[in-house]
Amino acid sequence: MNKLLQTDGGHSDDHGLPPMSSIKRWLVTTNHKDIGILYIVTSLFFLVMGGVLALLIRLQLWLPRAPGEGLLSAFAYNQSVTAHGLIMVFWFLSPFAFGFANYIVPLQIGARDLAFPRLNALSYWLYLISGILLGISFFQGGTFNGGWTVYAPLNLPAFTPQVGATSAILALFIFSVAITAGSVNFLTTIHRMRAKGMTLINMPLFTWTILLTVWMMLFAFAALLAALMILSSDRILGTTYFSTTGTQGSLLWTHLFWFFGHPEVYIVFFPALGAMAEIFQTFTGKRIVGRKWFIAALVLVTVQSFVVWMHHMFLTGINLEIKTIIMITTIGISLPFDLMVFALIYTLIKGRIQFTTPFLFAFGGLILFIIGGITGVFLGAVVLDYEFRGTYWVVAHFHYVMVGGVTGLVAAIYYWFPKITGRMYDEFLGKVNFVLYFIGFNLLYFPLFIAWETPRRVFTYPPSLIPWHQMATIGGLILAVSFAVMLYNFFVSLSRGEEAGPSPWKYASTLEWALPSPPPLENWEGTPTYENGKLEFLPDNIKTDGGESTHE
Amino acid sequence: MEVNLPMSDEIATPHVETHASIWPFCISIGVLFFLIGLSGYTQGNSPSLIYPVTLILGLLVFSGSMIGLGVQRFEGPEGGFGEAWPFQNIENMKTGVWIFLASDVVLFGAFIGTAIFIRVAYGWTDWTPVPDDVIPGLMNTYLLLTSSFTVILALVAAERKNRYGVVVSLITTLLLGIGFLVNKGIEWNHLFQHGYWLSTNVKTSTFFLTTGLHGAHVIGGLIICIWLIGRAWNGAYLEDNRVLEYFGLYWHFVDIVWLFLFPLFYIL
Amino acid sequence: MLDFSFSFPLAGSNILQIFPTGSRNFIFDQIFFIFVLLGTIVGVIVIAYMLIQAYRYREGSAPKKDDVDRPKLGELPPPVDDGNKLLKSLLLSAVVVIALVVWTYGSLLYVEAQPSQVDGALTVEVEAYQFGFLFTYPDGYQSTGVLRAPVDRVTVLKITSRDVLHNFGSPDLRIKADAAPGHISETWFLAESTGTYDSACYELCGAGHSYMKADIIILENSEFEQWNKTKNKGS
Repeated sequence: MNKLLQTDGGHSDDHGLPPMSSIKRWLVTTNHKDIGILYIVTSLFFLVMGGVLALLIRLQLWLPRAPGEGLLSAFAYNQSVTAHGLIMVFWFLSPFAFGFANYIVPLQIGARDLAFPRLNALSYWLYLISGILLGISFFQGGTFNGGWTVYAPLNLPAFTPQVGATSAILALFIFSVAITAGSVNFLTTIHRMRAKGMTLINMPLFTWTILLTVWMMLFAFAALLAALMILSSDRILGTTYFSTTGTQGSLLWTHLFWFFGHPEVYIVFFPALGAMAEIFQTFTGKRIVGRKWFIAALVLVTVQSFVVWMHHMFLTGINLEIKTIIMITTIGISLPFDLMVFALIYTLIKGRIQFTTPFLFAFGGLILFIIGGITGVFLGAVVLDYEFRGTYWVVAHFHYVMVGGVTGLVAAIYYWFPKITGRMYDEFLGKVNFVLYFIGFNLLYFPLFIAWETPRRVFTYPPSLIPWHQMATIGGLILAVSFAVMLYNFFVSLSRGEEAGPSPWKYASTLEWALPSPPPLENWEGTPTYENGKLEFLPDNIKTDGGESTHE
Repeated sequence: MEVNLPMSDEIATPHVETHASIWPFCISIGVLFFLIGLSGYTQGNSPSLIYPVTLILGLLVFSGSMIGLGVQRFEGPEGGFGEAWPFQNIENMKTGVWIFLASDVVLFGAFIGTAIFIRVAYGWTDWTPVPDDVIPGLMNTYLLLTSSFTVILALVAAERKNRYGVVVSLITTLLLGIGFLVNKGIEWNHLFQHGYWLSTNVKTSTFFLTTGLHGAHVIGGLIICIWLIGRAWNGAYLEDNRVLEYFGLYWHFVDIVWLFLFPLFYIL
Repeated sequence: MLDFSFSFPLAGSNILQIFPTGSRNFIFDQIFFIFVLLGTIVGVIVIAYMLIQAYRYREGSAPKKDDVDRPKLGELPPPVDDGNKLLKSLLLSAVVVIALVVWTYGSLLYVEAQPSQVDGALTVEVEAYQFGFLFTYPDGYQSTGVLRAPVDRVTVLKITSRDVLHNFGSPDLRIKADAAPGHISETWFLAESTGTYDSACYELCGAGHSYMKADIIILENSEFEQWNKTKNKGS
C-alpha cells in the first residue's frame, strides 16, 4: 500500500482524512478512489495466490503421477484445484474489475463518490476478511477440496469433515454479502447520481457494463447466498438439505449453484468487455461502431443470463424437453456476443490505431475471446457436450473466455494506470509484458484443447498426452513471468515514470480524462454537466435542481 | 440499549461530505473473528475452547462497531443532480432500500423454491406440516400484520409532528415484534420437546431453516426499530421522516414474506 | 419420430439421413470433425481479418485525407446509425451457428431415445462409490472394476451412486453420465471392436478421484456368452 504514497493528489481540503502516507488513511477511508486502489492491490495479491496454486497444479501435471508421487498429495491436489478456482473467480477477477469500477465509474458519470461511501468501505473490508478467512482455512485441517462448484453431497462434513472446509464456505458466504452490499451501492449510484445530460444511453461503455454487471450480481449472488446459507446450516446445524438421505439433494445444489454460476460468467466478463470497448475507442480514434446495438446486446445477455443455467447440467438428470429449451436459450445468448465482437472489429476500420500496451492487450484479449467463443459453440451442441463434460475441453474453453477477460482487465490497468497514479508506465516493458503474456497464454491453454481427453481434476492421464501437458506447464511459467514483468513495470513507474498529465491519450473522450491525474479528493470543483451536449463544469454557487442532501 | 444518540443538532450545518470512518473496518474484524469461531462448530461440536472464545469476541467487536456506525455522523454525497432514470423521484436511500429488497426477494425465493423442490421430490401429498398446531403461526400472522400497521401509525404521527406518537407507535411495533419472536420461541421449544430438531429429517430442516431466516429478518428489523426509538426519543423524524418510511418498507417486506411462509409451512 | 432400428453397424451410412446416427463414437467423430473444420475456418478468417485491418489502419500509415470525425474529450456519443453492417454480420453468424446446432439436434434425439427397448440389449447397473465402480448384471452377478460387454450389441447402463456425485465415462466408447445418489441415469454404448477400454470418474469426488477407474472389456459375442454362463461358477 505504501507504494502509493507519492500519488497523493495534493489537494488541500482533506476533510479530516489522513494523508496517503499514513496507514490510518487506508483504514478509515471511504473515498471511492482510495477504495478502488485498495481493491486493485488486494485483488492482485489474490492473483498471485491463485497463480501459485495454478503453478502447483501444472507442475503436478508435468507427468502422469502414481499415488503419492509428485509435489502434491491427492488431498493437497484437490485443495489446490478447488482453491485455485475459487480464488481466481471470486477473489481475483470480480474485485479486480471492481477496483476500476470504484475508481472510474463515479468519475465517468459525474458523481463525487458512491451513494453510500461507508457501505462501500464495508464491502471492501468484508471482501478482504473473506479472503483472509479462506487463507486461514488452509491451516484448519485443509481447505475445501470438492471443486469450485462445491457439488453436493461431497460438500457435506460426512465427506469433507475438515474445519477448514467450513471456513471456506463461510468465506464465500461473507464474500457474497459484500458483493450484495456493493451491488446495492453501485446500482443506486449509477441510476441516481449521473450528471445532467448523462442519460443512460449516453453512459460510457465501461459504466454500462458495470451497471449490468451489478444488476446480475444483485440477483445471482442472492441465489448463491441462499445456497451457502443452506450449506453452512447443513455443515454446522446438521440440517439435511443436501445429504444423501434427503431426496435429490445433489440435483438441488446444482440448480442453486448454476442459477448463480452462469450469470457469474458474464459478471466476470462484462467489465473486461466494457474496458476493451473503451480502449478500442481511444486507441483506434474511432467511436464504437453500432454503439446502440452494442448496448442492446449487453442488455439482452444480462436478461438471458438467468435462463441458461441448466446447460451446465445436460448430464444431470433433466429431461429432453428442458434440454432442448436450454439449448435454444444457450444459442440465443451466444449471438449478442457475436454482435459485440463484430462491433469491436469494425471499429478498427478507418481508425488511426496506436499500438500502445493497453490496446495490444485489448486486441489480444479479443482474439482470445473469439477462440473461447468458437470452442464454446462445441459445448452448445448437446451431443458433443456429453463427451466434453468433465474433460479438459471445458477447462481450455473457459480459461480462454475467463483469462481472455483477464487480458481485457490487464489492458484496463495499463489504460488507467496514468490516471490513478499520475505517472506513465514503461511502454517497452509493457510490450515485453504483452508478448510474454500472449505466448504464455496460448502455450498454456491451447495444448489443453488437443489433450482434451484428460479428465478434469485428476493428475493421471494417458502417457500419449504428456508432451501437451508439458507444453502447457511451460506456458504457465511464461504467463507467470509476464505478470512479474507487469508488477515490476508498475512498481518502477510509480516513482520513475513520466508525469502523465490529465490525459496521455489522444482520443480519450470520457470525463475522467478531463481531470488532473490523480484527481483530487473530491474529484472537481463545481458540478460537472453535459447539459449542452459536452462536458462543462458549473461553478458551485449555481444551484442545479434536485440535490437535497441525504444522510447515509 | 441506552445509547445517547445525537440527532436534532445535525440540521442547518452547511453540507460538507465526510470521508473517514473506522467502523467498516472494525465491523469486518468482528465478522472475521465470528466466522473463525463459527467454523469450529463443523458438525455441531467445537474441537477446542479457542473457537467459542473467538466467536464471542467477534460478536462483541461486531456489535460494538455496529453501534459506533449507527451513532456516527456521516454526510454522504448527494444524488439526483441531473439524470436519475428511472428513480427521479426516489432519493438515494430509498432507491437503495428497494434494490436491497429486490435481492432479498431472490434470497427468500431461493429458500422457498428449495423447500418446494424438496417437497415435490419427497412427494407433495406425503408431506405434512411440521407443527401439529396451526394456532401459534396464525397468532404470529396477526402480530406481524398489526406491527406493520403501527409502523404506518408512526409515519402518520411524524407527519403531524407528534414526537410522542412516533415513539409510542414504534414501541408498539417493537413489542409486537418481540411478541412474534416469543411466540415462535414457545412453539419451537414445544417442537424440540417432542423430538423435532433441525437435523431430524428434511421436513424439519426446511421448516426450521426457512422460518428461522425469516425470524432473523425480524430480529434485524427490531434492532433497527430500537435505534429508531432512541432517535425518535430525541426528536428525530419530525422534520424529515424518510428514514421511518424506509424502515416501513423493510418491515412490510418481512410481513409479506411471512404471508408466503405461513401457508407453506403450517397449512399445506 | 425417428426410426431407431439399430441396424448396426450400417447406420450412419444411410445417405437419406442428414445427421449422423450409429455408435456413439461414430456420431461424435462426425460432428466433432465438422465443428473443428468450420470452427477453424471461421476462426482463421475472423482473426486474419482483424489483424489485416489493424495493420492497415495503424497510425502513421499515411491516409490520403482524414474525413473521420474522431472522438473528442468530454463529448457525448453522437447519435449515429451505423449498425447496418453489424446486423448483417450478426445474421450471417447466426445462420452458421443455428444451422450447426440444429443439425446436431437429430443426433441428440437419436442418442436420447430409449435403447433399452432394443432387442438383445444387455442392461448393466453401475453403482459408483468412493472410489470405484460396481457392475451388476441382469442375473445379479456383480463385479468391481471390470465391465464385460459383447461387441456390436447395445449395452444399456443404469448408473447411480452410493455416496457422492460421480460421473461414469469412457472416452473410447463415448459414454458419459452422472452418477448421483438417489437417482438413476440411463445411457448406452455400442462397441464396434473388441478389446479393453478405459473408463474413469469424471466428477471430482474426493481424495481418490484421480484413481477411480474401471476397465471395459469388449468380447466377441460367443466369448461373451461363454463368460456369461460360467461367471457365477468362477467366483
